[in-house]
Amino acid sequence: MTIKFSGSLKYYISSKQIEVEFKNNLEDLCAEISKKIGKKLKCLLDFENKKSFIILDDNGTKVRFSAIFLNNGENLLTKKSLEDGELLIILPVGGG
Amino acid sequence: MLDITRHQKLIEDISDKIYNSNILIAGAGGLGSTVLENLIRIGFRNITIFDPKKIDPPDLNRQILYDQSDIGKEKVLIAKEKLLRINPECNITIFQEKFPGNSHFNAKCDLAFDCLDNIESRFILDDFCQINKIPLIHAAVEEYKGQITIIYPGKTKSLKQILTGASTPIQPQVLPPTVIIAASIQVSEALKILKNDFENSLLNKMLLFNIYYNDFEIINV
Repeated sequence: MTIKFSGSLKYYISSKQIEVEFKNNLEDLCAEISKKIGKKLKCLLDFENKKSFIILDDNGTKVRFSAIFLNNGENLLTKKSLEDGELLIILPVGGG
Repeated sequence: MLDITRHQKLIEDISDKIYNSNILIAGAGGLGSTVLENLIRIGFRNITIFDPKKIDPPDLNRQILYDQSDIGKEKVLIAKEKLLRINPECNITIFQEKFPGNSHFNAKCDLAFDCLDNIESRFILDDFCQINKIPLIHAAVEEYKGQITIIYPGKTKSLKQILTGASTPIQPQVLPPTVIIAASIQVSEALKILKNDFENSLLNKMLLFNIYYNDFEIINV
């Protein structure tokens, strides 16, 4: 599966794109991503409040970001299940 | 009358659309200030502005329509006054309230600009544009970073489909050039939409930039 990091996320990950083995649940997929990038990455989907986040643990320093997950173009918060293919993770900005 | 001879040739194929289009601006803050000034200087004449706020001192770093003498005054009133000084022939309708407010806004509108500062209001504007089939030019900024995309009902996803999950930052730091760049790109995208140039516009694409790293990235959304 192709994982793409967009916006400022790529600076934290030090990579724009990686390939990992597909896992059909987000926790296992994050474990695969973490192995590949050498940093612990957690994805949080809050379906009730319609918010999503990533937590990056870089040598004990945890940072939480608002994040958008598009799996084959569809937002993970509005999708039934994770599919193989592409997962695009964007750190959006929100000010005006 | 505003003299547009220095860019007239660049827009002559859409000059009628520019003169006659009705433009909705939601938010007359950082993005809105630059969007409005650009639109008026290009030659747009019919503009409706929504913003409930008054001008605060911290606004002056990036809200280029306003100055020290405007502190404490209503943004929409001052915006209208300053824009009319640039082109007295334009028609500017103002609502000193959040979009869509209590005004039951239902005027004909050809293009809308998302110059808001929170995700909840952006989704309300998005719903309005979806229902009324109005192209929406979205932008958002923070620190050195900006994002711009076009939401075109029937041709792209809605803003809600793309940005569900995003949180609203609380008083983020924003460098003035970040806002001016994002807002200026919003306006140039609007011109492409009026030209029906969908290939070169940010339709089904999002431009993400970070001026600290001189990084401009276009992704498919």
